[in-house]
Amino acid sequence: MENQVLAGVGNRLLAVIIDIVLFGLVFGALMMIFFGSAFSTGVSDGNAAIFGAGYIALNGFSVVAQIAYFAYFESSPSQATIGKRIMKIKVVDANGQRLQTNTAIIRSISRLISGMICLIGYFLAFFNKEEQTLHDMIAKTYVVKA
Amino acid sequence: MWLKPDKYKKFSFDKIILAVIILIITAFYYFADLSENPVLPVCIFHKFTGFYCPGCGGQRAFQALLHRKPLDALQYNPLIYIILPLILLKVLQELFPGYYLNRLIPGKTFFWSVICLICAFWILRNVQFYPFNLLAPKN
Repeated sequence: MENQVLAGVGNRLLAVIIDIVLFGLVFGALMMIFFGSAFSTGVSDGNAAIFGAGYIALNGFSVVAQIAYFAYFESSPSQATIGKRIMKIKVVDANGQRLQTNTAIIRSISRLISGMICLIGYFLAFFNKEEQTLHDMIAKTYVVKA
Repeated sequence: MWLKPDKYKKFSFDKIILAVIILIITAFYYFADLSENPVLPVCIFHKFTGFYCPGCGGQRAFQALLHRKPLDALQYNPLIYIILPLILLKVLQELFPGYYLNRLIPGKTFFWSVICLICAFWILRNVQFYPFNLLAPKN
């Protein structure tokens, strides 16, 4: 098997930041579209329940969209999200091959777990030789240079 | 092993960006009011379960260290004294790759020891009686 070079925690951090900014822009725009009037006029007793339900629904949608975004791009031929493409890194499986769709979905869902415990799951990459985060360990994946 | 670290790459543009981002994050934590900042990550585990995760208090501990209050940092999250040096080491390895720094990458035994320590800390800081309650983040 051809040797592959690890992406480096710095490149991964920058790729995550790019992806987060992209996501923030898209969902910030959606928030303004759906809740712009509530932000400007205030929520009254009459429509509070509707706005509350809408807010929860949009947050739920953002979680699903996040899973879909990472799973789709990381199992695509480029093996990378937009942030990772910019940083010229990609995700591979334990054999150095492109991720299967189910592995990519497991990795995306596990990413939520990494974030849930004060980002400790992400910090694991800082102190293991393979630079694996918690979601990399669960899905048995690695991030390498493209 | 088919994976190898990027050992000998010279200083490049992405490393400059990394250094700038780390400086921005550090400056942010130095100046930010953590109690009233809406952009900071909140602990979802604590929010939903009421229990502390091993990272709870980490941001306040980091800020306390930046303000040269090591005892406060210890009371917020003692794990910072283990995690932060490891993060610093890794960042230095990224910024200044070379033989000597790369030799310091911890092995598997060390990694699993840290994982065990984190798990033990996670359990013990949620025990409600003395002395374990000292491990919960100071309010």
